[in-house]
Amino acid sequence: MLFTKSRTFVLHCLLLLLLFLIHKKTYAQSNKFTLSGYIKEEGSGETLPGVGIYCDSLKQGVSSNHYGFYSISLPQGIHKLVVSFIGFGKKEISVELNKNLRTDITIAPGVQLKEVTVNAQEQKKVSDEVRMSVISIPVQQIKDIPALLGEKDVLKVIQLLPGVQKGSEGSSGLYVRGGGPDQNLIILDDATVYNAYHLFGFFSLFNGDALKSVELVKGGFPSRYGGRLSSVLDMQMKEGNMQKIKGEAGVGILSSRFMLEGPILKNKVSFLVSARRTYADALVYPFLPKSQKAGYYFYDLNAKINWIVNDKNRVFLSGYFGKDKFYFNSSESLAKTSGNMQWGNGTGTIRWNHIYSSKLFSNTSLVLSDYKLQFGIRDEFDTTFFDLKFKSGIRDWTAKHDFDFFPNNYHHLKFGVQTTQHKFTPSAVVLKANQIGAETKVNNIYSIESGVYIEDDWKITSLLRINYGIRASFYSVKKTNFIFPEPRFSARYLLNETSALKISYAMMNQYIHLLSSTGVSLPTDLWVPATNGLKPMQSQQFAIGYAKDIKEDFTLEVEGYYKTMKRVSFYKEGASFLLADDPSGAQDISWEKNITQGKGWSYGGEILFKKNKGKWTGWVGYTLSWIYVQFDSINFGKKFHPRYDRRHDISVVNIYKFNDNITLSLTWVYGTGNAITLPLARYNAAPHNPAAQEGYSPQDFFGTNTNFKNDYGEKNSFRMAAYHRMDVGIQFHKKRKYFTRTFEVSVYNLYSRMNPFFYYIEQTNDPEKQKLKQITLFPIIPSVSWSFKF
Amino acid sequence: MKNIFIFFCIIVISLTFVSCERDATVELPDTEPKPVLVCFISPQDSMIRVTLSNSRPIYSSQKSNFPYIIKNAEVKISSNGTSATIPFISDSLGYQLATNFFALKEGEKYFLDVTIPDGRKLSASTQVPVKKPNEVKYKLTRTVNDSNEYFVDLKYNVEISWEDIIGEKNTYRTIIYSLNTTKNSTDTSTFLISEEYKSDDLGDGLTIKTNTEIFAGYSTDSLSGNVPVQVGTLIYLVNGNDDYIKYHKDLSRFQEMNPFSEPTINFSNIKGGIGCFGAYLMDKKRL
Repeated sequence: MLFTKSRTFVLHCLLLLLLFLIHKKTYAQSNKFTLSGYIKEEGSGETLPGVGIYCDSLKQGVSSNHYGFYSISLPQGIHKLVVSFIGFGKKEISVELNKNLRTDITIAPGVQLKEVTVNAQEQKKVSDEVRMSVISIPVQQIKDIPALLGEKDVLKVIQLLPGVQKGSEGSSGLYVRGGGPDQNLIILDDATVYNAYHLFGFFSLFNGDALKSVELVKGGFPSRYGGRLSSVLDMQMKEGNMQKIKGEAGVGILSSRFMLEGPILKNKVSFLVSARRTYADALVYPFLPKSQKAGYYFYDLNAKINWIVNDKNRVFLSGYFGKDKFYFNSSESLAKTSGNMQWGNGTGTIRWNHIYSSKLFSNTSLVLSDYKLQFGIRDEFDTTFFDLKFKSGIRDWTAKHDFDFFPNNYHHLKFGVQTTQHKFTPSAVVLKANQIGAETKVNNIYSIESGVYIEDDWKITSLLRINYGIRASFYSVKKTNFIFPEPRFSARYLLNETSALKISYAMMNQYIHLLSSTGVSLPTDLWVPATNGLKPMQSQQFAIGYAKDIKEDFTLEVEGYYKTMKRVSFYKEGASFLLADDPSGAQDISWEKNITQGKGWSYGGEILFKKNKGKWTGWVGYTLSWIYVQFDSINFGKKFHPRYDRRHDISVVNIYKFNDNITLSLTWVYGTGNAITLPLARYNAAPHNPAAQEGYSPQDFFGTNTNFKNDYGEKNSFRMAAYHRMDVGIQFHKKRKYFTRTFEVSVYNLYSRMNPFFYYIEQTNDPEKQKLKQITLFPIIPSVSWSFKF
Repeated sequence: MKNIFIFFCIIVISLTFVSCERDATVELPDTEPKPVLVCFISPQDSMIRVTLSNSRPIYSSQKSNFPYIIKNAEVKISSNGTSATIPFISDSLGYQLATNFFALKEGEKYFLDVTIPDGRKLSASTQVPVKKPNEVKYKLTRTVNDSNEYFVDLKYNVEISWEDIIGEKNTYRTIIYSLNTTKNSTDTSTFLISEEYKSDDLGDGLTIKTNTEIFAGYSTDSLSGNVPVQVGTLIYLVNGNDDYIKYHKDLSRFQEMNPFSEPTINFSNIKGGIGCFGAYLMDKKRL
């Protein structure tokens, strides 16, 4: 029944689209021509998404699409157009239209000047944007904000925005509007990234040097996105400088990095490669005894080739490879032991952009995404050996085909189709030993996830603009099929030139679950598919907001949201993230039995006040939110707060550019403590012991044993101490003849606030007294780094 | 530049390796001790046994006013209009009543009411299962993996099979103990080897089987007379009611030493306190 209703609904939408297109084609027969092409950055040739092209005389404008393509329809004649984009200078061009014209436009990065000039940096008007709950983060800002051990981290910057919280100290996990870290779709050049963290979640695996754009969507999701409940983090890699070789390199406390880009064939083929690696293990390794070696490292590698085949076709090939590895080796005489724990992602994308006409653009992508985790241990003694490997992971093959259609200046249609084959390996064990030979137990699950969507960005009047659409998502695993329609809607109404009211609604479905211990991002976090026993999750989110541009420097956005979630997953009480103590029995452990499903509610308000121009920039963000979850088999079926429920969340970010040579940045964050379950008392939870009852164990006549257990309060009813921290950084830039170098000194946790990472009970010398102790991960931590770019 | 870099490395490493462990700087809950009641009844038992104690609050200073064992409570068991008081037996530190004075029957519902002189009251109810497990078969296979003058390395395989009770949802608890004694003593002691739970999820009335492999060994050091020697294996197959099973499953699930295990709020059906009032029927075998 559900399938029939959904299919009918989708068919009706497609019919409406067809009628609309026919109508618009008729309309377009009047004397109008189309100017189209790519918007590029001057100097590098990078295409720029979201650039505004505006004709003041006609009061009409459009924006370039995700790939930098624009299309604007104008009457025959001469027109003056203004091209503007955040962080770039405004450009005025004059065009004479008497036929459809293809013109690529280049714009130059703007500069921060005291006086407003033609080249002054353009700022985005938040009141213009129809989408709400969207934040674009300028990549340069990621580099200006101080970070733990000097490692610039895009996910940590996103945690400074309202509506986004981190799970625990140092963690890069994102908790967006009440959703867990598994509910965020993280995309790098169309490839989904699973487990986007190094070193147990302390750092993300995204190298800012290779990124062109970062956009976070927290609500009002456009139809082209699907598969996760709470957010979409869409990142695009740079394409590579088409005109000259450029590069950056840096050395820090934890890692070193470099980035190199440039033309292979000028204005035709370009490349970009960037890499990062920790080096502590390499420095320490020579000093370790030969018989005992151990270490840890991580690395990232991004690579991209961009080929402009001709005016209508562009092909991109990009990839990411990264790994974390702990290892140890020990050998003495005939005995050798070695072990390792390693995890990593690999992604590869082939993308083809094709311009069918001045109004129709398409993107076709073929993507591979692979995440693996492996534990291994090998024991040898003389001729005997024992070798155990445990693996888990997820591999996706994705094909997608998307269209952008610009029938006129009032509509921007997007439609397309996407399909992904998932291969889940929750556990794979290979055991080899002299005595038993080889045993292999592999547990693979295949599933197909697909989506068809259509959306329209419609400027109904000069005041009212809406984005509406629908996505139909399909999922098939073993012999179980799911299909859900996902309506999406957002609207903006201009109250006046500088302020707007916005509303949005989105339904989302998620077909994969992350099995994770709460609040700690670990490589052992496991992605598993929705099945008949573990059904897909679903959310609905309503949001209302007010956006105001204040003078030219400031923006204010206030939003309220209400989100409901169905069939969210949670570990059962007593369940451990370790599937089995004995990994050789892993196949016999059903992870479905470790999980329970329930409901979630999240609601709250967010304020974001930003200063975007001038020597001093930054923002203040505040979130007031509540999150509840309810599971029949947890907390006796009563609803409770999840760990990451934080009532108040404040972020203050300041970046001050004294001049071209010195940049000072300071951030301060505050958050209500995590909600945890604290043991309140100890009591004798004696089990029934029939052997003792029958007299076999004379020490306990009552047939019970003493068995002291913790008595807890209500689930997650205790608040950890509030979290707050200040970071400061200062950068010294020096422009030399061939390069610019930057030396940065930063301090993480300036006043050394001892934020608790976890609590534990310590017995004192008095048997009647215990103490609650805390472990803090990061006190004050200074760091230095040095980098240069040419 | 290089010296500054090295200096900062030393500072970072030193500060990072400071353990940052301290007393928690947060207001702690001041809870009062809760009364803890544990009682498992069965018509197969000759005694009704109740343990009554106080929990020990971790952060509170109030526990000194509440003794661990509650000795002076009024404990009553009742069913179908009849009731009996269960007296405190000082030698055994618990409350005990022979079933001669208050008979227990299969299928009946029983109520426990406790009144403590300080005003606290507890109550609970439970229903005895109707049937015990049928057609139970036990098989023990003992294999010596290795032995020398000092140590014997053994492997046990314990197989239990039984017919599930038809017409009701059942979960069974199987408990296996090693029964030991020492060379110089006739007293026995038990050591819990295995505890499992099996339900009839696969089908009502089907045969259920468990197969437990146990690795065990013992020292044969003849110099000490206190070396434990295994003299038997005790196997119990318990058909517990819901209260009994939920309580024991919670106890066995939570791994207190595993920091990544979700804290378990243990099952309790005691109003006014914590613990369990459960009931069971069982089959047993000594091999």
